[in-house]
Amino acid sequence: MPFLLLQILVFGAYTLALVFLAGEAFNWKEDRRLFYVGGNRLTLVPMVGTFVATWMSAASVLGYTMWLYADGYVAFTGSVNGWLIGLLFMPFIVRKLRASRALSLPQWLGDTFGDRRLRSLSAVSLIGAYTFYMVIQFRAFGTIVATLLDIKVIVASALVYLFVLYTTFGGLPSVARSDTLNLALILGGVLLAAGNLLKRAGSLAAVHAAIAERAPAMLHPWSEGWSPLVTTLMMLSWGLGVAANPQYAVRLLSARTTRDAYGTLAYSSLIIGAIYAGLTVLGLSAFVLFPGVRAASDELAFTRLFSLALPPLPALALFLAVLAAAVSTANSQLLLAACSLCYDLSPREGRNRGDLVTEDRFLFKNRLAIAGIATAALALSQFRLPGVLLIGRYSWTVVAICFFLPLYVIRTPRPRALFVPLSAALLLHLFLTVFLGILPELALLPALALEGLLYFWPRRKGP
Amino acid sequence: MRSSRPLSIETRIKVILTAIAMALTALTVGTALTQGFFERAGEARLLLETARSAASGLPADHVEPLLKRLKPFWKEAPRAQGAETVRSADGQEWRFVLDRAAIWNALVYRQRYVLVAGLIGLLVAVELAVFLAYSLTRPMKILAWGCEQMRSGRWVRLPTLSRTPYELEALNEAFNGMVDDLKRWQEFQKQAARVERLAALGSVAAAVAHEVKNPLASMRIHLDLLRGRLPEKEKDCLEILGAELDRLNQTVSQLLSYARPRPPLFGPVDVRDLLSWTASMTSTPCRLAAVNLSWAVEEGCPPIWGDGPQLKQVMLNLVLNAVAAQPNGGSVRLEAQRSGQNVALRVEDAGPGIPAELLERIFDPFFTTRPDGTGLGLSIVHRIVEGHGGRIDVESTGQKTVFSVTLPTAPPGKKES
Repeated sequence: MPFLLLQILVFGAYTLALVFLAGEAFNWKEDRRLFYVGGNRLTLVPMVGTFVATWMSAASVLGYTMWLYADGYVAFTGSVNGWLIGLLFMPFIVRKLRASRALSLPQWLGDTFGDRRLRSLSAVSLIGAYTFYMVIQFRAFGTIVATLLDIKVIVASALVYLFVLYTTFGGLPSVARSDTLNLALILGGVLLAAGNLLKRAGSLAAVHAAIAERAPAMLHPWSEGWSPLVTTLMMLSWGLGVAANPQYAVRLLSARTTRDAYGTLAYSSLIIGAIYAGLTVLGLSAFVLFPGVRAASDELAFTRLFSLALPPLPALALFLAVLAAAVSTANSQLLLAACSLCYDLSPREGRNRGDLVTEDRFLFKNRLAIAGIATAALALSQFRLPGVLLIGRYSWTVVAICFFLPLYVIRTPRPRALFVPLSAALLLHLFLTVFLGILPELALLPALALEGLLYFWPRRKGP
Repeated sequence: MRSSRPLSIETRIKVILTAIAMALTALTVGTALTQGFFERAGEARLLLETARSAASGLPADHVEPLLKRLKPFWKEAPRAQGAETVRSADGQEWRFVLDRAAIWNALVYRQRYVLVAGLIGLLVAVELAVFLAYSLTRPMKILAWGCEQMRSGRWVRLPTLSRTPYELEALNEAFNGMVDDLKRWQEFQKQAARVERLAALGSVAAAVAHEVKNPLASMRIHLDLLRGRLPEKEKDCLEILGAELDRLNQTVSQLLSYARPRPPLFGPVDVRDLLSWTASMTSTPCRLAAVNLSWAVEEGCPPIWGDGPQLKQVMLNLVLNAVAAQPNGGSVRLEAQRSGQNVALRVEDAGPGIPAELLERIFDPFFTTRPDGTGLGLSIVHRIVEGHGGRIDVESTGQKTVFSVTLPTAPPGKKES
């Protein structure tokens, strides 16, 4: 069978699996709680599935592997290490979040500080951050499929756009079900490709020996170009961003029990560790076996490198893993962005569900918002924007500014006291990154410091 | 044991449309590929024939470049069975077989956009299926919700949905019609039950009243006879006995007037006279209870078409009720105004109001919350107003109670020009 036909058939099979596994897009008995947080009834297996699949974005699979291929272990120190640190923070917010019964993190923030403006501000930030982050997913998958099938990027991106739309229309229950399939594809694809490449390279020790001989700097955790401080800051910003990321917070809210939420964090960390180990093997082995593959973008380089380095079937499994990663992250972000737009920013949408007809109209509006935001992200993915990891850095840092302090630092919230500090922090971050050209992760710390200072300052001066 | 959950409409439509999309894609792409394959194979054979005939007149060294043009669709197969042969003029032979895989690869590459379009078409079909299922199931979902609400005792009307197929709209309208009919039927049943209850009560009350009234009259006569024979200091007891006998007599009279009401004698009743009479008749109880009574009649208010004495009884009962509701003082306001072809009489007091759960029962005979009440005053009012073809409504909050009596200004069938 021609390989091109096999690739298309595999994508077709993925489409069918997604269509029939994702379940119903319009649930018979749905309301906003079911749509946004799965009715707080997700059990351990779908929870782990959706948590890990959401975690593994195209930035993780593709961006990290290519950074590792180019610079070695500094990629781990600068990104994955930070992400894993963020994971360590999460158990501390499980009880706090679950006690609120909120449907979104902006709502939790607004309710906690008794400030509607805070909810709106964080919702606007989330819509911006996630729309841009979705660009990564569309671009990564679009470029890979366009290269594989030799078609236009926009046609390939339209495929992932439709996958994402379909799975998001059903709300979190549908996202969770499709994510379980996506996780199986990510795990299978990465481990199959890593095993294949490692077999050809000999062993991990042999790979290390070869790197030590050819490019010993790649084995150092700190970059020569950046000081350890910059790498640490970068790592920290990724960590804070992940720790405060509403994608994971919402999943912790969705668990049926608090025990399931803790269980999800425990099992997910093992699977995430296995996938990162696989990606690390892939990046380093590829460097040893096929050094010097370069291309105009990370996505193009990734496709070229692994088309060259892997036999057709493992390569196809790896590309399918990137597709699954893109779909699973994008649908989660799309759902949150739509929630922010329709629920958090709309003053008429109260906390409680209305009658069936009102609820039906409200959820239909959400689906329109999903289509609108996905279309905007698809359009943006066709423009020349910064690299995959850089867009991710902007997004995570904005998220960290909005939620890190209230989630992890502030123990006794003071009513209406956070809006000014948060606004000032976001403005400072914008000024430092856009006008002074400082890296987003470096600008994050002063922004967070300002937010903390402005929040805690009046308390010290108080009677 | 519960059987497995049947498939939803959405899943069924999704399966059908997906199958159609897949079949169409397979048919289109399959036809295109098969046709392309045979065309390519035919072209390749033609090329081979051309090369073969050209090679037969050329020496071997001139044939070699010619044979390169046979690739990629022909591959050399020195020992293959059924291979095509090309022979040069000097007798050298080459064997070729058709490279089907190469032809397929080229074809698939050429048709790749069609294949991807098929995949996109499949996804679009699925998403259309989802929305088609939604537009079909939405009215049914709302209908099911309406039925559930009705089952749990809540009356609901289904909203009109925009862009709904007319068949489903008819279903919606039928449900709403059914709700309206059921409501009317429930109202009718309530009314019928009330009438039946009142009739039964009336019969008993009339019989009892009739039996009690004669002995009461006799007791009253003998009490008056006793008055002249008893010493002065015992007369207080007679006064009390007399008062109690009068009260008993009044109750019995009320019972009789309730049970066997006199048919009204209709005629024009001046509203100003009616309210003025009511105010003067109730001035003493109002003064004793420190209740401020005021009244007003709208300019040009037409006379009521009714029975004067009966309407006086209505107003008297309502005002005395209002006074009794304010034992520690308060106010009563009487108003009359035109309301279309009727006159609306309002009696408003500033009492503590009637609890919502009692409002439905206040017109029932013998229902009272006062220890000294007969529970007949408002029943009589209700019966008289109904006998006049009018309506009585009551609104009560924690701060006030308003009785509104609406009575016609002309006999039935006679409309104001």
